[in-house]
Amino acid sequence: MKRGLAILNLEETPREAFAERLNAVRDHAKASGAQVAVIYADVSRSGDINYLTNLCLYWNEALLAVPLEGKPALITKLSKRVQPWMKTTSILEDIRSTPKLAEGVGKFLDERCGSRAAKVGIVDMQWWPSPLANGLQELLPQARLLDMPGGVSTRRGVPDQYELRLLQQAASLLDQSIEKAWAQGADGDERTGIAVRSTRMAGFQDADVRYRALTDGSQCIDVVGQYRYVWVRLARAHGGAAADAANAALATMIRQIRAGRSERQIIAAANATVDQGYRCKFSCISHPYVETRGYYRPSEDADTPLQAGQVVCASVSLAGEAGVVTASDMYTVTDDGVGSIS
Amino acid sequence: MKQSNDDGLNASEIEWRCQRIRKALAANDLEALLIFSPAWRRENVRYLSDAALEASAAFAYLPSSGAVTAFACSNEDELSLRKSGFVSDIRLIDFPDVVHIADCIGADLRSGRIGLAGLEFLPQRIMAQLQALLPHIEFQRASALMDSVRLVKSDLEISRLRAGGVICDKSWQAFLDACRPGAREFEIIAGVEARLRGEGAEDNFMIIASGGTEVMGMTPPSDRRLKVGDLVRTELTPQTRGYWTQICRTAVIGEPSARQKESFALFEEAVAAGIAVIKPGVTAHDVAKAENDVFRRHGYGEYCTSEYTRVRGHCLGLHLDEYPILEDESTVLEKNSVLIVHPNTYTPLAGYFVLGDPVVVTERGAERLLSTPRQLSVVPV
Repeated sequence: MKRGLAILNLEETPREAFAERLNAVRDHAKASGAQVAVIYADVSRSGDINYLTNLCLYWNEALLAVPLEGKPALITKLSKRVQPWMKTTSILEDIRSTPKLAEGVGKFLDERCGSRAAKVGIVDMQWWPSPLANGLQELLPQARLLDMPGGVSTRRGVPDQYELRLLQQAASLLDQSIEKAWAQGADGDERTGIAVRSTRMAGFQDADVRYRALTDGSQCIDVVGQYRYVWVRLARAHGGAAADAANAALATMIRQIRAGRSERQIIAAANATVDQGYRCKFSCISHPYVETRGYYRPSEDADTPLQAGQVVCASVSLAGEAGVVTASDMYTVTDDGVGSIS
Repeated sequence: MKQSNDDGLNASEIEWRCQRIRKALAANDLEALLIFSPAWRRENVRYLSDAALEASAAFAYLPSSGAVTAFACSNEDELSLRKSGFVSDIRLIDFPDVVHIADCIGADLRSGRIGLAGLEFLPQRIMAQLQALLPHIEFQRASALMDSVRLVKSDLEISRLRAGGVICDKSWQAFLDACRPGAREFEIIAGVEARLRGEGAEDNFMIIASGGTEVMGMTPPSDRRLKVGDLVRTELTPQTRGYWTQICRTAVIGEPSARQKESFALFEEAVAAGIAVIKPGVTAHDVAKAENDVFRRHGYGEYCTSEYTRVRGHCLGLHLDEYPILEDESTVLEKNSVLIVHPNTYTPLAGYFVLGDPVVVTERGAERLLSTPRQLSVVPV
């Protein structure tokens, strides 16, 4: 849960960087024929809005409307009372609190587009809650809703200098937290407590720490964490045959990663070499999808060739008689392989 | 299926839950129930699986007759479901492909009306798949139905909420231990988080606010440093074996001012008034009115409105924010409902103030789930 440090640090990410990111969304909207792009978020998947505005959606749901001209507006179910805080911790100036998000979009179109008969780009429409997407169409029968798959996340795949720096910092801090937990914790609860404390003290906004012990002596600490607006996942496994197999499988997959290959190709090559005694699940996802562990992404993403400069999270989950063990790390994709970011 | 586990989970508990759901389904002319749980709303899948899940999606299906099927989206969740012992039919799916879910429903019903809890969160592509694969099935919203089913807790559920109360007590102590002049808000939370996870809590929801009369509400922590004279308010909500229990308290750094003491006295009177009216059959309206009447009596009635406050408490359980306690809510609190009474709001006395206790509704009235006294805790300087 998002209960760690939430701040706007303009030295780390200047206003111009946020402006450039919003402009990229506008370009995408324009190319899609839309007058305004609308992005959905709930507390469990709000990374795109966080990246564009620095807003921490710590609970509930929201939409970000980005018109071709003018400032973006947040339409949120969070109450009006926390608007001053939202403005202090984000670059947003226009925040509208309402329990009815679709109606909020209607009012926004009235004000900014002069009419509800607008062309509205729906970013990642397939992942919008069905009643909200349908409700928007019913409420705005004159509007034309246009799908904008990957409207934010595609560009984020290759991070800008500010996001890359935060990713590097986050991965490094998380690595240190996990190492500390292994070194200082006597058992699972202690290790979890140490990892939680050190990630939160390092300034992580979210930190989902999982410790697993298997019957063959393998153990792993798996952390998915949010630092500022970036997400990283590291999982370290030690101590038993399953952990060794997971580490070996991860190493095998990493050797397959390079620019020009898709996740599906990478997994197919890695799968062929895995010990058949385990049920193995690989993933190699672009860093914006770490927030949802890759579950919410455009359907074509698995077949899209990776680009040099892209930051990915490579993970292996092995299930066997002894239990489930995970190994995971973050890398920068290069033309001939990967570079570590931590 | 395991017959029991260490805290009394057994087949009769599972049967009791399924019966409650089936009764509600029948009353709504629904034949079966499909549940979708996104990462931030796990309550309904948890109710039928008792498993702590980590993937970004999970599903469960309660057929028109027979046992529950749970659908895991990851190896880890499949293992967690097996370990819980609540469900014996567990299937691994390749999310977002839901063909196995459609097969399961299709084998149970060719046509008819099915409740879909979590429909309001269900992604469009999943809904489109289900409708294409099951053209003769009509899906109806069923989140409210499940809210009402979960309102009344079993003895097992109450025992877990009680265990959460113990963690609340310890976490509040950890909060006080971390509060000192110069400490930053996010560092306080780091200390609390480490403590409650070490105590076995699965998760925690927590917001905080430090400062003086300028504070209008609580949010995630900043890097603000505590100062002498600050009030530090928090709503701390550990999750224990699925169940969220909550403690609301305010501490003062150094000796409290007369107005801070007056603020505490006002809120203490309101909490006590809310708790005093609780008995089986009381409504959310009754509890909220009892709290708000105290504010009105002292001339602070305007601070009970949505401009200054969200709710006057809420029910607790597998979701941390179940039925709201508000004057315009008519929810009937039955025996074994669990709620927190918290009249948290802003007043000019000392800014936003936080105080509240979770209670279970019993025949004898409200029974507190905490042992931490309600007091304005003073952090010595």
